[in-house]
Amino acid sequence: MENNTNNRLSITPTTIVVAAVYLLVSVVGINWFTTFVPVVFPPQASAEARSVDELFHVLLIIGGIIFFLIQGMLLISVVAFRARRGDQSEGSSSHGNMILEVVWTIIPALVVIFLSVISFNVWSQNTEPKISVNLVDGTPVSINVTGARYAWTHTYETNRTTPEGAPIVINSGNRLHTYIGQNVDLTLRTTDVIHSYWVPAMRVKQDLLPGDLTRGGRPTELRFTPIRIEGETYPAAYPIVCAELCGDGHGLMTGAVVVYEDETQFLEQFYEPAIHAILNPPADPVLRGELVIQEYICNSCHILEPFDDWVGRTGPALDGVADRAADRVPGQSAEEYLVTSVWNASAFVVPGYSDQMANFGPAEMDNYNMSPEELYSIVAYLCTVGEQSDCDNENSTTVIPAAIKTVFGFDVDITFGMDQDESADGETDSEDDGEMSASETSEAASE
Amino acid sequence: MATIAVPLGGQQERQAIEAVRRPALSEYLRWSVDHKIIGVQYGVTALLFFLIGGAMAMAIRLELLTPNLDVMVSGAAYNSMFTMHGTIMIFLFIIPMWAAYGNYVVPLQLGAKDMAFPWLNAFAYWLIPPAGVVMLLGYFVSPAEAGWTSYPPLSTLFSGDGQTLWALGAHLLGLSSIFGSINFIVTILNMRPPEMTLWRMPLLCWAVLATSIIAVMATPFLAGALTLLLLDRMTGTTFFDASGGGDVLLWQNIFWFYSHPAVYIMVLPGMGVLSEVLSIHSRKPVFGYRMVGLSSMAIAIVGFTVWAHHMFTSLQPELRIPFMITSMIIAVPTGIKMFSWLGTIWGGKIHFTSAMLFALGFMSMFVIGGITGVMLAALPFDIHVHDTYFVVSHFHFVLFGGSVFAIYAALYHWFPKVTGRMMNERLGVIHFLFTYFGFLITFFPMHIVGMLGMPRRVAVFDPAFTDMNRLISFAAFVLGFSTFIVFYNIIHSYFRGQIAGANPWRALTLEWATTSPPPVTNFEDDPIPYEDPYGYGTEAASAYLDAVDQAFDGRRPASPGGH
Amino acid sequence: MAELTANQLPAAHDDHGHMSAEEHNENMKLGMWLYLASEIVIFSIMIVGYVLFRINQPDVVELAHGKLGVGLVTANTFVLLASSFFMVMGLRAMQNGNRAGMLRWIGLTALGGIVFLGGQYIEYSELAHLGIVLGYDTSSIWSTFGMRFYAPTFFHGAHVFVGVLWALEVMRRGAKGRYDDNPIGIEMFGLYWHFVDVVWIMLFTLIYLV
Repeated sequence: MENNTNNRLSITPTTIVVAAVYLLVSVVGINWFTTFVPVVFPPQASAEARSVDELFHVLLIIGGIIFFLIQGMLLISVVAFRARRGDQSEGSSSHGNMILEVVWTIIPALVVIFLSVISFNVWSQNTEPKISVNLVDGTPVSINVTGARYAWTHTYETNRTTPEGAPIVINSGNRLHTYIGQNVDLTLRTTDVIHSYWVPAMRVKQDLLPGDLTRGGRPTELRFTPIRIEGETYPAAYPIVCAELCGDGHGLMTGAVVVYEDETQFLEQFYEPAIHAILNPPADPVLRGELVIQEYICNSCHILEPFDDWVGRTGPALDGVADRAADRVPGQSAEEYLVTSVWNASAFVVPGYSDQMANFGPAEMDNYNMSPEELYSIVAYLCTVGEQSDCDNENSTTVIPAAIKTVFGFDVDITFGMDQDESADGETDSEDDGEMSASETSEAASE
Repeated sequence: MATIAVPLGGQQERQAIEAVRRPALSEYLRWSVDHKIIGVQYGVTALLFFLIGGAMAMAIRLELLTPNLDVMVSGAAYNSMFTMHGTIMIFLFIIPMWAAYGNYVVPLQLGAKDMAFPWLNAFAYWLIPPAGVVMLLGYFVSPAEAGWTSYPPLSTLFSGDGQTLWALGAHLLGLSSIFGSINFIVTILNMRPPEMTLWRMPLLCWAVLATSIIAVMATPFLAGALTLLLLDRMTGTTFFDASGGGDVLLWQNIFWFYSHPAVYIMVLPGMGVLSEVLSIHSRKPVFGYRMVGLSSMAIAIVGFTVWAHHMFTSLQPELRIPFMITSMIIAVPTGIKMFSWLGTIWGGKIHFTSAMLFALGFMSMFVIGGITGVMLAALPFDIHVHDTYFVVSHFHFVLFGGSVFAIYAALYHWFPKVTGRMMNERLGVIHFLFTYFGFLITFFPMHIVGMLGMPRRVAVFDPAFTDMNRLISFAAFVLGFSTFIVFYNIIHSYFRGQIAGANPWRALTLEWATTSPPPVTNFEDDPIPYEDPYGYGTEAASAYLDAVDQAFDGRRPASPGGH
Repeated sequence: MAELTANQLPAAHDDHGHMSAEEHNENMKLGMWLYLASEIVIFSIMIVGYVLFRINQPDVVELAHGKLGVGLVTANTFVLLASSFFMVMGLRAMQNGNRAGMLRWIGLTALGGIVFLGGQYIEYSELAHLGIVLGYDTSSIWSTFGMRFYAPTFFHGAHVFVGVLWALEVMRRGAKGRYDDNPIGIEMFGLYWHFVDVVWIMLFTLIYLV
C-alpha cells in the first residue's frame, strides 16, 4: 500500500505510458489541427483573407499548444493522482509555489502581447488606405451598397454619362461585380435596421448603421481586394450573407460577389452590357419591366421562377401572380390590383403574410425613386407572369396607365425609353446578348 | 503535534444528538427570510426555467436539422425562440442559480447566521418569478424577437409588444440582481465572525464578492439602457432612432458595458465552486489561494474595459485596437485560475465523485472557451467570425462548459448539505458522460460551421452546412436528454438518497461543521473556522475532520488508509 | 483554541435578532452606499446623454436656455437645498433625543420636497405650452431636446417623490418612537435625500447654467 508521501508524481509504468502516448498525440494533434486551416475556411478569395488565415494559423498553433498542455496535465493528474478504491488518505499539503505562479502569469502575458502585436500588424495591413480604389477603365467609380430588409442592393455610380450628361447608375441587385486586383471600396447604408455585410470568402464584414436618411444616412466603409484562386473558373461567385439579426427573413438576406478574371472580362461581361442596357432600354414595356423589377429589392421577400437569385419567403411567391390578380380585391381590375400592390402594398395583404412590405409609392419616393413609368413597365411585366393572365395584355399601353391614373392620380409617359429604340431593331438582339451574360453570371453564382 | 485543537463548541455536540429536521416542502412556497429557504427557492425556480430554456434550445436544433424553414411557422417564430432561450438561460437560469448557491452556502461558509438583509433577500427572490412570467407573457402578444441583445432599431421600431414585456421583465431581473448583490457584499464584508479574516475566506465567497461588485456596478447600466429603450418604445422619444437625432450605437455601448461584465457574473461564481470542489475532492489545498482570490478581482476590474469587442464590426475602426488589447489581457487572470486548479489536483488524491467529474469537465471544456476567446479578441480574425456560429460555440463553451458544468458540480457537492441526503453517484456518472460528450459534439463543430460562413440566428442557411448541423442537432438531443437524468436524480435522491451526515466529503469549510440540513440559526455558537479553509493533508486537519464527524454523527474517526 | 470556544458563552438567541445594533447600522450604511452607487450609474447615463447632446447641438440648447426660466428653477434649487438642511437638523434633533423636534424638521423636509415637485410641475406645464415635449416630433425645433431634458429631470423628480413618501414614513415611525434608541432609519433617509439633492445640483448646473 502506498504511504503518505504521495505529494510527488510517482513514476509508475502506467504514468510513463500515458505520458508518452499523450506526447505523441499532441505533436500529431497540433500538426493535424493546422492541416485544417484551409478546410475550415471558405475559399481564400482576397488579399485580406490571406493575412487573416495566416493569423489564424498562428492562433491555432498557440491555442493548440495550450490546449494539449492543459488537457495533458489534466489527463496525467487524473491517472497518476487518482485515489485507489478505499484510499482515505490525504493529498500533499502543498499550498503553492511562488516561482510557478509568477511563471504562469508572465508567460501568458507575453503570449497575449505577442498575439496583440501580430494582430495589430495584420489589422493595419488590411485597413491600410489604398490609393486607387474601384478603378474601372482607369477612373474610379463609386459603389454603394444598400441593405434593406431583406435584400442587398448594389449601385455603381459609373464614370459614363447619358446623352443628357447625367452619370449613369448601374443597379446590379444583390450582386457585387468586381475583378481580380480591383481595390474594392464599398459605401454601405441601411434604410431600416442594422445589417452586417459579410463576404466569408473575403473575410471582411462591416455593420450597416441606421442614420438620418434625409442627411445621407450613416455610411460605413468596407474594403477588400480580390485575388486569384488557383483552379477557379472565372467569373466566380462567392456568397454575401447578412450577419446581424435584422428580423423575420434574416437568413434569406443573401447575395453574391461575382469576381471576374480581369478588367477586360469585367467590362465585357458586366459593365458595358449593363450601361448599354440603360442607354438603350427595350421599347416593349414587358421587356423593360423585366429589367426594372430586378433593380428593386423585390427579390428579398418574393420568389419568381425566371430569376434564380430571388430568395425571399416573407412575401408570397410572384409566380402566376397575373392569374389571380383580378380575384384578390373585389371591384379592382387585375391591373389596378397590381398597381396598388407595388406602390401601396399595405392596401391588401395576402392571407398568411404580414404587412411589412416597403412603400414604393409617392409617399416614399425619396427612398426608392420609382417613377410612374417604371411602375408601368413593372406591372406590364407582371401581367405576363402566369398561364391565363387576368390582364388585358392586348391593350396594356392604355389600361395600365389608366389604372395608375385611377389609383394614384399620376400620368404616365408611355413613350418612356422609346426614342432611342427607333434607331435599330438590331439593338434588341444585342440586348439579348446582355441578358445572356447576366444569366450566365447568375449560373456561376449559384454554383 | 502534541495536542489537537478542535475549534468546536460544546453546543454542537449536544445538537448532534437531535434529529435533523428538513423544512417541510410547503415552507418553500411561502415568503421566508431564511437564507437557506431562499437559496432553495432560487435554485428550484432557476432549474424550472432551465427546463423551459432547454426545451427552446431543442426546438431551435429541431429547426436546424434542415436548411429550410420547416418546423417553425415563420422566421419570426424562430427568432423569438432563440431570443427567449438566451434571455431565460442568462437572466432566469444562470444568474439566479448562482444566487441560489450564494444564498445557501455563503453565510454558512462565513459562519454567519443569515444574510445582512434577510427581508431584502426574500424580496430580491420574489421579483424573479413575476419577471419570468412577464417575459413569457410575450408569447400571448408578439414575443420578443430581436435577440437577447435587443439591438435597436430592430427592438424599437420593428418589434411588437412582446419586446416591451421583455424589457420590463429584464428590468425587474436587473433590480433583483442589484438587491441580491448589495446583500452579498454587505454580508461578506460585515457579517464574518472575527476569526474569519478575508484571507481565511473560502474562495466561493471571494468569487461571490467579486461577482456582486460587478453586478452592483454593471447592472444599473442595463437598467438605464432598458429605461431609454422603454421610453423609445412607449413615449415616442428617439434616443436610439437615428431619424430623430438618436444613435443606435448608444444602446450597444451601454448594453455591452453591462453584458460583458455579466459574462463574469455568470462564470466567476463557477470558478469559485471549482476551487472548492477540486480541493476537497482531491484532498489537497488550493494551489496559490491568494492569487486565485486576487485573480477574481482582476477579472472583475479588467472585465469593465473590454465591452466594445462585441462591437468590432460596428465601432469606428480606430477605436477597435484598444479593446483588442484589453480583451487579450483578461486572458491572463483567467489563465492564473486555470493553472492554479491544475496545481491543486496535481499531487492530490483524486476521488471521482460526480461533483469532481463535472469540475474536471469544466476545466477541460472551459479551456477551449478561453482559447477561442483569445482568438476572438484578435481583431482581424474576429471580423471574419463575428456574429457567426464560431461565437455561438465560444460562449457556450464559456457558459455551458463553464457555468453549467460548475452548476452541476455544485449541485452534486452541496445537495447533501441542503437535503441531508446524498445524490446517486452512479446516475451522476452517467449524467456526466452524457453531458460531457453531448456537449462536446454539439458545440465543437459549431466553430467550423461558423468559420465556413454560417451566421448565427438564422433559420434558413446554406444547404452546404446541412450535414454538420444534423450532427450538432443529434448531439444536442443527447445533451437535452442528459437533463432528465439529473432531474430524476434530484427527485429520487431527495426522497430515497443515502443519509449524508454533516460532512460527507470531509471538507474543512464551515458549512460542513453543522448538521445537514443546518438548523434555522445555522450554528448554535459563533463557529470558529479552521485556520485554513483548504488546509488538507495535515494531521491537524484530519483531527479536526474526525472531531466534526464525531460531534455531529457520533462517528468514530475513520482510520485513514495510510495508518 | 479549545479555550477560546470555552470563553464563548452562548448569547441569547432569537431567530434573526442576532445582530447588534451597531452591526446592523454598519450593514445598513454600507448597503445604502452601494445602492446609491448603482443609482449614480443610472443618472450618469442620462446626464452623459444630455452632455453629448449639449456638445453636438449647442444651438438648440442655446435656444432652449432662452425658454427655460432660470428664476423658478433657482428658487426650486434653494428649496431643495434648504430641505437637505432641515434633514440634518431632524437627525440631530433625534440624536439629542428630541422626538418632537425631529418630527418638525422632517416634516419641513417633506414639505420642501413637495414644493420642489410643485415647482417642477409648473415648469413642465409652461414648457409643454412652449412646445417642448418628451416625444420626438419632426415639426418642432425642440424635437430632440425634449427627451434629453425630461428624462433626467423627471427621473430625478421621481426620486424626490419617493423621498417625500419616505419622509412621511420616517415621521410615522418616528412618532411611534421607533428611532428613540437608534436613529439609523433617519440616517438612511438622510443619505438618500442628500444624494437626491447632489444629483439635482449637477442637473441644475449642467442643464440650466452651462
